[in-house]
Amino acid sequence: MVSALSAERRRTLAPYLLLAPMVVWLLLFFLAPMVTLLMGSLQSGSFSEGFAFTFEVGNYVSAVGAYWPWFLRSITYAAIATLCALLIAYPLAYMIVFKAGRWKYLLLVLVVAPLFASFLVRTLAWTTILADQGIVVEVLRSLHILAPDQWLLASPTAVIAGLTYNFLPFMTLPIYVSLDRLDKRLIEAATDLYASGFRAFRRVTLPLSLPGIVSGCLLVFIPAAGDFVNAQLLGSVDTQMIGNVIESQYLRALDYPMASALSVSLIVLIIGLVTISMRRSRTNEIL
Amino acid sequence: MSITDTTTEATASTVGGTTTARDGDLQLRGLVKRYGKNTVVDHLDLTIPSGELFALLGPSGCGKTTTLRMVAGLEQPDGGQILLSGTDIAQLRTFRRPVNTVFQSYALFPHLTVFENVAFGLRERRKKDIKEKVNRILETVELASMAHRKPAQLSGGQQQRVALARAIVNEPQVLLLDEPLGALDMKLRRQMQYQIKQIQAELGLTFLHVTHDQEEAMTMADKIAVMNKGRIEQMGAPEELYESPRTAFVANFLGSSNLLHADVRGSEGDFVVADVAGQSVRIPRDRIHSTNAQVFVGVRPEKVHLVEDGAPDSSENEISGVVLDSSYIGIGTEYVVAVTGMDDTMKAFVQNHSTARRLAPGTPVKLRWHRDHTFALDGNEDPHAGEGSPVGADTRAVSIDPERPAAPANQGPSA
Repeated sequence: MVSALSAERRRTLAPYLLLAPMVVWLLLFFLAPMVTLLMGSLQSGSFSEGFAFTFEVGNYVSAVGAYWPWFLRSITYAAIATLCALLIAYPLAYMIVFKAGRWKYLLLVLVVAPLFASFLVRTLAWTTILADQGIVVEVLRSLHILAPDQWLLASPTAVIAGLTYNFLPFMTLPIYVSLDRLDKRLIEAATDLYASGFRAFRRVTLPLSLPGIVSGCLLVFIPAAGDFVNAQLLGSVDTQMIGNVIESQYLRALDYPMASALSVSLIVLIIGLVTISMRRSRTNEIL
Repeated sequence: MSITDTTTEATASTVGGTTTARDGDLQLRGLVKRYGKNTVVDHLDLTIPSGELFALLGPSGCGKTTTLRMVAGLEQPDGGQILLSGTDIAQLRTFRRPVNTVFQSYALFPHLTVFENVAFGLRERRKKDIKEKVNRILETVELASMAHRKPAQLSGGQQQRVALARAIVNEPQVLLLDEPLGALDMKLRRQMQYQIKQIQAELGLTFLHVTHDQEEAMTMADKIAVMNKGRIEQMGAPEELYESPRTAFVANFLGSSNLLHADVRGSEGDFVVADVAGQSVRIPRDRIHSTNAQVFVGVRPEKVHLVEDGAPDSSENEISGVVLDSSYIGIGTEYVVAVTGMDDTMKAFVQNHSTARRLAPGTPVKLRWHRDHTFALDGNEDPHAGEGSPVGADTRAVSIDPERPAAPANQGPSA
């Protein structure tokens, strides 16, 4: 009787037990930090006197009120970097899939290769590349694209270039996957149905690679909007992003509630923007 | 259903010019395709008359699909001409050719609805009245109610019909069908064979149908070209190919045949007399496809009947043998008989309409058939060429009813 009951209970418990590792993982690594962050953002007090939870909504008012230009700049830089990455990554992925032949896998490795070096080292390398005496600046000056008294480093261009470069693999890989998975016979069918190469691309290849484009854009835009390393190493005081503000609030001003409120605001802003653009891209899917 | 406008109207601007060929004929002249050292299509000559349902039949790897893809413009030939109404289209870009293809994989656009799939070609050519044309063709293939579904929401048979509609809505000068029914189950395939045939008759378009299924080719086509190793073995109406095959490959690939070693001895009126292991066989003169003294005497298994005794009819050939084996196959019984005086065996397919008992192995029998059913092939041929083809090698003799080779398939135990 007892054993029958426990067997019955075990059966009803089984699904929950199977879910347990996942639930624990989510609680530990997702929900706990989020709750901590949210709680922290509603505290008041100072580092020396200690913080207390007072449901201080005013943190958000002062965070957004004081730092909205940084938010705006982050979103703008991230959006431009995402667009640049897309413009580089799409032709690159297209070439790897359709034109590279036996070089396909070598090229893929080269796309991923920068990730083997540390993020900081890669970004620091760009300070050399974009240096005032560097080759890029010299070439641009000789082509009169850059005036003799102009430079690249410490400019928005440098920050956006750094962001584009650093997150390029995350744009290239999803697009590569969606193009590689595309049934090439569909392109044949399109040309058989009177579509020229360009029209076949426009009506078949592009819409079918849209999922790759969307995930690539998310994977670039989201981390780029919160990044502070590129602005710190390649930018100036005038090109600071919201990540730099959060970093200094946490580590220098030691104003944890303010830093938390800024972080939560950034998360909400990104989620909002992504939701809106996803909605709009779905209507674009018809093309 | 009244899509009867001339198919040339749409393409007259791209493919102009006239020659001696009949308008609308598709002619392949000396067509060659090589992959490396491998010649897949070897100086192929073929004329597909306008308005016919033409089947290109052959085993996998014989070059039939490559030929079709060259006509579509999806492969570039290494030599030769592709003439449509007398104009060479071999150099024309794929999207400029007035031909459309029904792909083996269907290749439906997954992101577009059924309606938009069918409208694709019309939109690319900026046609008018797209809505009416698409709806009309969807009604023809009985898919009007599915117009707003995506291909993934359709069954295999429905997807096949979308693929067909998507091609024929453009009223191409030639419709290319690349094993279009390969993925369907037998019952559905039969239905589609019938439906495609009907649509072809209704529209009067030229259909070039590539298949490895000899039953399908015989059921559907007005004319069949049997292809082997990049060349055409024989071309003609299904009856012609089946009744009087010219090569061992055709004799074995299209149905099955008994081929016996024989020596030509002389002639007797309209017949040639040959010697098969000491027994005389008469062959109609017009069914001899050899100039050699050594020949293979051929006869289809279902033409042969077995008797234990009695004198033969004067119009019959007779060979004696001993029953080796018999298999009961529902509508008939297939016997394997060892021919007296030689190593060869003969197959005989006997319909189960008599009450006679089944002949046991070891029974001495006479194999008899009408002289007019005999044919002869060159003695240097490989008598096993074309055997062991991919589809139903052992049931082939059974599944073809020789009296009605072009009838919509509704008989045969393999169904």
